[in-house]
Amino acid sequence: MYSEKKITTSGIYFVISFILLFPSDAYAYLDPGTGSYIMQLLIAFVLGGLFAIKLYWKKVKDLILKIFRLIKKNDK
Amino acid sequence: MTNKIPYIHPFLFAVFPVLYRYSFNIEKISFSDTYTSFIIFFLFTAILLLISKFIFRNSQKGGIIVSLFLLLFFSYGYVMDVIYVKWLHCKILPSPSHKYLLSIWFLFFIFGLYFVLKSKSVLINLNKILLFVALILNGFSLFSIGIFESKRKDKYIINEITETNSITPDLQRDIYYIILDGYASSETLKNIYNFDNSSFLKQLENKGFYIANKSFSNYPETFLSLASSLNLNYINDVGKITGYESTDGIIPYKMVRNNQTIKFLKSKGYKYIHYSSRHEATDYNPHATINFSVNFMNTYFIYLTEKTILRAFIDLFEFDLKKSILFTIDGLGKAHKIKGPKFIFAHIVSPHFPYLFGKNGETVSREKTSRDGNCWKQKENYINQLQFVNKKILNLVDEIISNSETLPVIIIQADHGPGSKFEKLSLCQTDSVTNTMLKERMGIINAYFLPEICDANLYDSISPINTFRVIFNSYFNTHLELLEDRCFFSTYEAPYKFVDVTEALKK
Repeated sequence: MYSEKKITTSGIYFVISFILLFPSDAYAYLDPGTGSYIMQLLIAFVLGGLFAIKLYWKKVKDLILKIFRLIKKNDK
Repeated sequence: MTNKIPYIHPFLFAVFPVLYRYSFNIEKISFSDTYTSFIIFFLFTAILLLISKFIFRNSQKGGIIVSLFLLLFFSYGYVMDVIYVKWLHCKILPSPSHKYLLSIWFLFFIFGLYFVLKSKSVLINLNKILLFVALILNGFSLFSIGIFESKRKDKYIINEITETNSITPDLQRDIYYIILDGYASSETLKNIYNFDNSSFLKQLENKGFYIANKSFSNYPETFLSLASSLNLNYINDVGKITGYESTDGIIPYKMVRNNQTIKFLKSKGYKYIHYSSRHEATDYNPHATINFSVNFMNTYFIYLTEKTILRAFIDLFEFDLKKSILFTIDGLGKAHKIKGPKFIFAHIVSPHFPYLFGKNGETVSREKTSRDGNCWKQKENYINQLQFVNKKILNLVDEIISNSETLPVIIIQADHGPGSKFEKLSLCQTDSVTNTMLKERMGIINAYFLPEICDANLYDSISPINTFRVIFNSYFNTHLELLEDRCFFSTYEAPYKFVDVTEALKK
């Protein structure tokens, strides 16, 4: 049986190989750099997501606190 | 500043693909190649912003929608390549089609549009996030360009032709230098492609051509081969400057554009007429008197648009290249009309793949060609395209000879041969490179029409390095020493790590 860790690891391998094993464009003397292009987009948007959390930090914090309070209230 | 953000990130998203592609291919192109793309994409974005302002009447929301559109527009081809082409090979998807990805892209856009238009807030923060993402993206490329440029070594001194005794003849003949990319020697065609090309060569001979039957290229790649033939010298020492492990092609590219042949002929009063190849260093030449091109768009721009959503509707690269090849051959036949002595250079990317022409010039269906792997292995397509080229060249030669007031010099030569015996297109091989492989790659067509001089100046095994040495000695009374015809093999991954294969080719 697959453990959760194994599934996560194989998922990461799949994503990486999916991105890196881009087709070779035999016609092109200019390398399109497909894998790297997609990778850069992904990284930029992940960083953009972190920036968004920073921008909305107060709201995010309030929301998390609200959720915790609700959970505590329900427990009682 | 906050009010300006919606106008900044769309421009950054538009320049990112240009900058990215440049940073990825910095070893092959100069920054000036990107100017057209920058201008066109900049204008394109400005128009989109104007339209969005007119429609949405809200700059914050308009900016977001334009950026979303640009992101989807420019990333379409990349995503298509990754998903469809690779998955098709893995047999995960039933069949590749633009309609699926186009539908997904359309839904993405509609969803984004709906979200932005329905939002009650001004979306200032979303604009800030998009600006941040756009800056990061461009930052990656700028960083990589900066690192490369700081390490780049491109100072190379070319040996000038120092020939003080040369003359400027009264009768100055036009000189046509026609490069047929990847055109194999007759031996290769016979032994590897099972094709007898003797009828074509015989017809050239009947028109007065000398065919160098045992000719091999000096180098196995276009940019090396042309840098050498146009500068009348070997270029093995370029690796000393760039580093032998380097793949930086900037020095040979500069040598192709600003070469000794042009300099010498210009000093004799010649005009330099350049036909765009839509490929590599011969796409455009700033030193030409006239640059002829099928359209105003440069190759770099075509390559960029090929990765946009436009590719779902038209194969711009093939469309452009096909038109360009026909335009060049047609134009060469009319070049005699340009007044004065001329050096006319045309690098025709054919019979080299992509396979665009059947043997009678008909379109080759997509099912019959593949873009993947070593395309030299598609032997039938290669031979069909070669036969079409043969027909066009014979007609062209007739046209040039019959229309020129003075019989011109015509050189029909290949830069290298094909490479069907290699595992990879890059000429890299897991086991050793055999003599057959070398002969295929280095064996070339090399035909000369040299009016009123004795063929004794030519010989069977003349290689491109001596082409202009013979022509200048014959017509300009130079006394350039003929160099020993030597052949050097290297791979795409280490183009300056040359191996002398001259003796191996003789076996």
